Amino acid sequence: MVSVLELIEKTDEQLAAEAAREVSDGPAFNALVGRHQERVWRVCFRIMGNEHDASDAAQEVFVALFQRRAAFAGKSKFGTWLYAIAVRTCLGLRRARGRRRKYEMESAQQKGQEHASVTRESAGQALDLAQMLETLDEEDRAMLLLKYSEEYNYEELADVFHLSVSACKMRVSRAREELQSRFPDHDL
Amino acid sequence: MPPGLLETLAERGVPPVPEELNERVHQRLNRALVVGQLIDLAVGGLPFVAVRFFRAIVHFIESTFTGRFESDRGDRTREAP
Repeated sequence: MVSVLELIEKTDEQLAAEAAREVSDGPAFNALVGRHQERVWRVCFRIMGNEHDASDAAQEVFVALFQRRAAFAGKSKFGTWLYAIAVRTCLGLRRARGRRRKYEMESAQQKGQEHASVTRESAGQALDLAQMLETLDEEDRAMLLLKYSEEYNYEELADVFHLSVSACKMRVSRAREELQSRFPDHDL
Repeated sequence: MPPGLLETLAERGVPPVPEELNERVHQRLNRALVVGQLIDLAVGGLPFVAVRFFRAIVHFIESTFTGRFESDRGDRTREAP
């Protein structure tokens, strides 16, 4: 029987190796869920945009973690590997709900046009930044959210999105420019 | 220079982790495990049982007509009493 103290002292990578040997959701797996629950929740909430969808996504993430627990090769940090799963799961769920997103995107663009003549201050209040971000490509949106909401650095983004650091910098910069060109009245 | 709108994203709070998240994760996991085991059973277990059953019937018919049967325990071919 593994004691709680033993589990606390172990690194994520050691726990992941133990979880891979567990037949079901055993103590090592549960310890990993407990350790990363908060951050996975934050990533899911940022990307999904509301509590209900974020909760659904977080559950999916941990089920995916369980199913792929043996696939963790230890090439990157366990946390980074898990957050990459979280991002991919969220993006997958959002794509699956594409119709709703398309509707939201259209309404955001409509609002953007309506507000084009309004002054910067009042428009900034009226048009929600979240809706502006909805107009971006899913991955670009997620990248901007992690960069600016969760303050990920480019190295972390590169690990999560499986890109090079320079590619990440370029994508963030382009996404920002794209957003700025779509909403010229806002200081992004 | 005032921060851009994107820089204000970090100021937006995230609600606390829902209390029932852990419980729901385990409920979902249990469902996934049951489904996985049923698939294993359907893909591996049932065909195995079907093949064993079919072989038994074939051997029964064979021994009925020939009066000889093969033993599973060895390569001995026995004569029926």
